[in-house]
Amino acid sequence: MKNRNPRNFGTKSVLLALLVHVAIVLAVGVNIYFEQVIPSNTQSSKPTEAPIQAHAISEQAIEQELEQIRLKEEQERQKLLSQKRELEAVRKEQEQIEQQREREEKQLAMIESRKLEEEKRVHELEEQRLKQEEELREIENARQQEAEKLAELNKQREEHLEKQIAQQLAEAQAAEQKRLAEETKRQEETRQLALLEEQKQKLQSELDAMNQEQSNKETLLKELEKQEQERLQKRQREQKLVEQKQAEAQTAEQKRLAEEAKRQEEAQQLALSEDQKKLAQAREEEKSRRAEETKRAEEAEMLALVKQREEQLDRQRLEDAERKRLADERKKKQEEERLRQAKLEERERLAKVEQEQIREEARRKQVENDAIAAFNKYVPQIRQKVVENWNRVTQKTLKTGVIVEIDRSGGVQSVTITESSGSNEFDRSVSLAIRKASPLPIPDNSDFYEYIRKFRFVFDPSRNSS
Amino acid sequence: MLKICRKLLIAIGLLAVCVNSYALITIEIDEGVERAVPIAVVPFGVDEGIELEHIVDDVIRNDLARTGRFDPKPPIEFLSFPTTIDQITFSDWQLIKVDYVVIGSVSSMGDGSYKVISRLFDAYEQKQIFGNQYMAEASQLRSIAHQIANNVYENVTGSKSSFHSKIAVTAKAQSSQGQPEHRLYVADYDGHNSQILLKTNDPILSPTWSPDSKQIAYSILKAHQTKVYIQTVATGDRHVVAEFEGQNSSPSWSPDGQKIAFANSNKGNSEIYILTLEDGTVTRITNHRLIDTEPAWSPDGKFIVFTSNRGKNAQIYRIRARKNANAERITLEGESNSGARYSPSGKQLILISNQGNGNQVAIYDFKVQTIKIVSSTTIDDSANFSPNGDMLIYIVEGEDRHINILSPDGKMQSRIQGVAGAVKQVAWESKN
Repeated sequence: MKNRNPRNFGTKSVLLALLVHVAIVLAVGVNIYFEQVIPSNTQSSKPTEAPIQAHAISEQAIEQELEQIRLKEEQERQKLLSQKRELEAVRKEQEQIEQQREREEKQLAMIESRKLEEEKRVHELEEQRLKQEEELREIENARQQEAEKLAELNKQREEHLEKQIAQQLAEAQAAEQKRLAEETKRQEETRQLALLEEQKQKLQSELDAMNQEQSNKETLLKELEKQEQERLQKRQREQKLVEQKQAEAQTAEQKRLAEEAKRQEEAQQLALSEDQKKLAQAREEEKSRRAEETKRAEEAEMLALVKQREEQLDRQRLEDAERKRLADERKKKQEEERLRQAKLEERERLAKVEQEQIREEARRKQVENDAIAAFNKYVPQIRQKVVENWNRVTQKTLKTGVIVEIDRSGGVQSVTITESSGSNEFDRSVSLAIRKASPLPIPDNSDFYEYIRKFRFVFDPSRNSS
Repeated sequence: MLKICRKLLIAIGLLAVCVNSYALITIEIDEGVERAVPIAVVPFGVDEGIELEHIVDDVIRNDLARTGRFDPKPPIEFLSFPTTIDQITFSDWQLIKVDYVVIGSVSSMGDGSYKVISRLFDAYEQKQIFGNQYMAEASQLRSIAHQIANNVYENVTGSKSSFHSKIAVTAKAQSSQGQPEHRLYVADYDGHNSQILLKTNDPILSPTWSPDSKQIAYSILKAHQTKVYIQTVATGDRHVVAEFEGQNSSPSWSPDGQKIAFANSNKGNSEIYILTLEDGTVTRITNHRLIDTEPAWSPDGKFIVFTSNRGKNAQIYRIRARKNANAERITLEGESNSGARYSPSGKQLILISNQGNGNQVAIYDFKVQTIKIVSSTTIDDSANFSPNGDMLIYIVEGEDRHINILSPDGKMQSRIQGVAGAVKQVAWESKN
């Protein structure tokens, strides 16, 4: 195995140290043992059980032995020396290990601090991201509010217009009603006028009848007068006759005459009183007739006056009605004109708004086109970065579609699988590739962000294998 | 009417805007890279006082690393060591650039069994991919670790791992009496949990698994003759299936499990035969005056590849698995090529190739028709694919004979232990 477990390292060094320790203790122990053993051999105080055997040993042999002992000692010394050296080496090694450990610790500390920094940075980035999201949300909200407000305004405007129209309609209706009422009134008046006329005519006819009667009476009166005159003339003639007779028979007759005269007188007087009475009556009648006539004339005059006044009134009324009708008509026309104008203005305004919208749309389209053009220039870079991060660990030839949302600096915010390959592992490798490629290189123009914040990836290695 | 028209117009306008915003720019990605997946296997939390023979996270790391498809980062690079879900901080893992994080814990249940919890996270998506819990005896902890590694492998690559598969190994060892002894082992793919299936005084050669992994066929050389045996793994029962005149060697099980191809030399030189197990009938496949041996079936059962020296030196040939078919030479490069076996996909062969630097593990690709050396060792033998094809196993010969596992690209090489003795040959089961 290539990976050496670092934890074994400490154990190993401890083991080594232990081993060395044991070796040293052993060496020293052997030394002590020998030092103890050798004197005990020379001491004769302890009896030995083994039988003592005497040997004749040549000096040369002794020397040889001595030499050997010396050699042995030398060897031992050498050994000790080498052990010491080994010890030294071990100590050095330990030191080295110590140093290395220190280095490692330092490195660990560094890693730790770096980690902390990174954490802080990640935290900051997270915060920043959150803030951006918040901002984004706010913008979204504002936009929505704006849209709502616009809709509200539109609605209000429409409502207002409708109300206006309704009002105008109501007004027109009211005017119409008023006009109709006036019309009926006028008709009524005309009817009354006709009635009056009729009455007047009736009165006239009555008057005529009365006049006729009067004239009849006058003729009668004239006839009566004539008859009276005729009678008077006759009587005068008769008187004359009588007078003649009287003259003839005056004296005889004077008494009878006187009596006659007296009787006649009496009769005459009776007849005269009768005539006078009749005359007075006629006169009386004439007088009353005259009074009546005057009265009638007065009445007629009065009637004429009334009629005149009525006519005048009628005329005035008609004129008033006409004036009013004209005024109403004018007013209506004006109102209509005003309405028409308002409508025209509204239409114009709407057309303007629409035009504005169209212009805005065009402007938007232009920015969008620019954004897409700018983005397209970055596509090879984005592609390259994703390709480098797509580890085709599944080695499957499948197809996955994803929608990626980025923040303003190209950081991948979300990866949504829109077209799954059917293999979780393949899909995951795709999502991982995009997330690892974050941040993606994008055009540095905040106006474009809106149009490029979402885009699609299709991972389809089959396109390449053919 | 006008109003309605206006409203309609506005509606259409709005719709147009909507439609516009959905006409998204599309970027097509038709290529990627093939890299080992950076992964962090965090040391599992272990209850205090528990001494475990096997460290679960070590087993997982080794499993994943051996395929070459994962790059488990050494724990010294970790910024934190979470063992539970609430302790994980994803930014820690994004910082050290790992795609996935495995965490877990082992806790004692008091009755000698253990509870093992494991979870896999996507460090960028920042979510759990799986969470598993196992109850296990101490002896099963390795198997649980392989299981967890397999779950990780499956969830990332989308295919099954070979971490649970077995190998058969032949080795020469010393008996308890100090006598040389030949053994047939069955072990976990990483050499652990080895069990002796057969002990004999005679050399055991060319072990091969049945497709269902229930039996192993091999040949034994006894009294100057090799015979082919079949042994049942579960019971240890075995019987001879080929003891024809001459040498009966190099058995290879057909993918349907009904036939065994082997080499027999009764006609003077070694030729390839097919033995039908049901009725014992034998069909001769090759007919050449020079040696044909080491047959191996294609996964579809239609072809047999074999080693022949008919072209001066040993090369790989392919023949249809029927009578009177013509063999075609496959390998053209190198001083010699031998011991070919098909990859599980059938698209490649693994073989031992000598291109002048000694015997090395190599892969022949049928599509590009070239041999690619993958091992760095030069005394290689007995190379096999893992059941899913993402690992290679082979024997390194010489004084220190041992088993190596290799990623197919040759980048990850690891020596496995656990089989006692001087290993001779190895066979990876084909059932995954």
